[in-house]
Amino acid sequence: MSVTNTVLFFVVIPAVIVLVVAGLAMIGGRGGADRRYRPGRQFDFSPVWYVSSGDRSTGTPAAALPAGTEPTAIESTNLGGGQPRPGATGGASDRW
Amino acid sequence: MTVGEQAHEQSSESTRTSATLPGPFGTRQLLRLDEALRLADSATGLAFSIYVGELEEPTREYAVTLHRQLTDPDDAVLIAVSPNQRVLEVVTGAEARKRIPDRDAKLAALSMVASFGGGDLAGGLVSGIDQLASRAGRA
Repeated sequence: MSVTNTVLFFVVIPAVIVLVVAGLAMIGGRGGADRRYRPGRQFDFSPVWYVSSGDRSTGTPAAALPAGTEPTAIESTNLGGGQPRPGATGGASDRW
Repeated sequence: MTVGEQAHEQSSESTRTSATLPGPFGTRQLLRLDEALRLADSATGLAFSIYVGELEEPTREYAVTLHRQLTDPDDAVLIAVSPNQRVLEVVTGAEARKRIPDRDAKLAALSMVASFGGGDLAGGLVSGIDQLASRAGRA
């Protein structure tokens, strides 16, 4: 086997294969906007709030809350009447 | 029409028109979430809702104020997720808490967080709703 053939078989052909695969991978990665959340990636969607029936929410249901809006129910003067007592809510918190 | 359906419509419209989307979920995911919420509500009589977005610090108090804005907070269960802060808050109202003890809410939260850590927001939410609704039992 000549030097040219050796180089062709063991260098040029593998290099071509690697380039083709790398090119296909890059084309595949660029296709379309990836909306999926991935941990660590910035999540810049507007806040959304889903309830199962539209009349459950006091505000406009689809709008959810604009980020940074101060909720009106926060004031302690609003806590009487139909409002739940502070600390009456339960639940859980977690991080990932 | 439910909010989920409205959001779904908006989502599918904006998918066609622009890249800025109102929500992080695809059409199929929104349909699954909507159905999960509907089934959970009709089975338990509680009002489940999902908030996905930024939570102000302190996140727990902010989630409780969000929960309070629902019309019937006592019977409401809010699942608030902030992907940027990597925080999950489950808030149960006074009545809902009797049917979903905090320990079970924590278990559901653990399960959801495991999915979120893998990048699956919609799947985690659906399984979390399922766990919470199963624990709450029938109305």
